[in-house]
Amino acid sequence: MIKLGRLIAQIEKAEQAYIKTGDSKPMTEANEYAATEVMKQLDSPEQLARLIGLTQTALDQFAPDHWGEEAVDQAYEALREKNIQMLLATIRYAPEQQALDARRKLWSLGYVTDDSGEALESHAEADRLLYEHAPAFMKGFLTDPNKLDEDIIEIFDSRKQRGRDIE
Amino acid sequence: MIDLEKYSQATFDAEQDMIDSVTKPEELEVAINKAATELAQELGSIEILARVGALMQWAVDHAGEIFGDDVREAAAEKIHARGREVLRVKVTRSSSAKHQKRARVLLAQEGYVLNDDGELVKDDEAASEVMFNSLFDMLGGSDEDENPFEGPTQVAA
Repeated sequence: MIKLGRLIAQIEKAEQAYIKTGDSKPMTEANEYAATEVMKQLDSPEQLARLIGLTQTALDQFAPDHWGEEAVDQAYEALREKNIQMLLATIRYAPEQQALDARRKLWSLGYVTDDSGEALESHAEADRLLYEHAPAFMKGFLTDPNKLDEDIIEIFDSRKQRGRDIE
Repeated sequence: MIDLEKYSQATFDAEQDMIDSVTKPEELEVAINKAATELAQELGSIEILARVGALMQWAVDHAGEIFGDDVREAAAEKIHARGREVLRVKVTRSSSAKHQKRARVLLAQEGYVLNDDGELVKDDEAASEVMFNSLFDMLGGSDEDENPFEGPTQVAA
């Protein structure tokens, strides 16, 4: 049988080191080791997929009743915070393309980086950056956040004018 | 220490009982919830539960690198085939019209429908029709209980 708590503690320790130093190797090794240990106990990847489903069911249905909605929210908040710290570390230390991918993920969470490289919540700025850095073929599917305001103003003005015309 | 295989096996057995007509489709959900509850209780905290989920997901995402692409692809096909079998039984034997409809739509999303003998057949055209009809019902404001994409909601008087 498996000591999951110990494996997870090792991953957390490696993640913390990654946030501080940018060295991703211990983190990958810790995840690989834990995944291999888990798989040793299971017959097939199919059982792994079943366990994903079970943990998700437990999180969705059991956790709020047993630990309370507030505790679940706090746990998700802590995980989100950790995720942001990991993305900041990738932006800080990883090669250009990987760092840009991390930036995109950060923007999609509604955060940007300030002058000191810390995360700053700003949905408007994050939306603007997401649009600005989107590949050309994607821009056709996205709404330019700057243009959006102009469009809304234009629609509002034309309705106002129509109202005057009717009067 | 935790016996992961026990929980995985519990859901497999519950599915097999349903497929073999030993239990009703409704009982599968109860069995899955029971296994999920026991797993969560044994893990002891939401943080560990969430982290275990993330670890499993990481293992699946990297399964090709760790266990080889052949193993990953074979497992994926097995998982899909099993999923279709579970849905087929739900369509044919669930006592809830809503669950039947949801299962039918999920099968259609993969391009499968049931023929007159209740067997699964790959038929993209018929599957598109199922998808279209369910979308049409949804847009047409059909009864919430009939909507395969939504759970029951409180309707204002």
